[in-house]
Amino acid sequence: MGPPRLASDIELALAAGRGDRRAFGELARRSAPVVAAMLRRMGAPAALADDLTQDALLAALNAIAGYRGDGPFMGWVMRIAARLYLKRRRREARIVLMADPPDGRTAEPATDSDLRLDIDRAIARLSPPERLCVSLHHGAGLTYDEIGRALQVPPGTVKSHVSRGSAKLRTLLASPERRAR
Amino acid sequence: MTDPDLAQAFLTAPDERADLVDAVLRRVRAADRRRRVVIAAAGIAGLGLAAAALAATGLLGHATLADLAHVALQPWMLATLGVALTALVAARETLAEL
Repeated sequence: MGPPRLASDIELALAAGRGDRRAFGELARRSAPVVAAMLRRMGAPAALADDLTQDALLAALNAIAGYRGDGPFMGWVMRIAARLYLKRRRREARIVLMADPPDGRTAEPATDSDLRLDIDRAIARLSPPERLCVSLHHGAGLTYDEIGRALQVPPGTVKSHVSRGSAKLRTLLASPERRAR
Repeated sequence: MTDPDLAQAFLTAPDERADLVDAVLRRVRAADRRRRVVIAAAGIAGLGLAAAALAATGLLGHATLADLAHVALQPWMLATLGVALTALVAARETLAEL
C-alpha cells in the first residue's frame, strides 16, 4: 500500500463549498504562506500582508463555487489578494509607480555569492515600482491592463516596469550552471 | 529563465504559517456562528410576523377599526411584533458584519 494520496485543490474546494471546514483548512494551509509572501514582495508591511491574506482567504471561501480548478487554488487566492491590496493601497501604489520614471538601469552584475539569491532577496533589489509591477504580473498573474486600470496608469508604464524588473530578476536568479552556458 | 519560471519562483514561501491559518479558521468559525444567528433570527422574525398577519386576517371583513386597535394593543401582539422587529434588526446587524 502506497502513501496516502493528497487531495487535489479542486477536490478540497468542492468539499469546502459543501461546508467541510477541514478541507478549507487544508487549502488555507497550502496557500496562506505563499499569498502572504507575495503581498510582502509587493511592498506590503508584514501586518497588512497577514490581514489581507486572511481577507483574501475568507473572500475565496465565500466565492468558492467560482473556483474551477484550472490552476492551483493559491494562484486564485493570490489574484484576490492582489486586488484587495490594490484596492486598499491604490493611492500609495500609484504614487510609487509614477514617482520613479523608467531609467534604463539594469541589475548590478552578479557575483558568485549573489547567484544564490532567493526570490525575496532578488526582489528586494528591484526599485519599488518594479517590485510592485513584477509581483502583480508574475506573482498574482494580473495583466498589464488589469494593473493599469486598478492603479489608473497607462498599461505601457506597467509593461515597462515589468520588463525591466523581470530582466533584473532573471539576472539575479540565474543559476551558475545557466550562466556558465 | 522564462516567464513561467519567474511565476513559479513566486510560488515559494519561506516557511509554514500556522498562526495565519489558525487566524483564518477562527474567522471562518465566527462567520459560521454569525450566519447561524442570522438564520435563527430571520426564522423567529418570520414566525412572529406570520402570527401577527394570521391574527390580523382573522379579523378582516367583519372587524371595526376599534376591534383592530384592540387586537393590536394586546400584550401578546405587541410582544410578538417586538420580538420580530428585534430579530430583524439583529439579523441585519449581523449580516452587515459578515
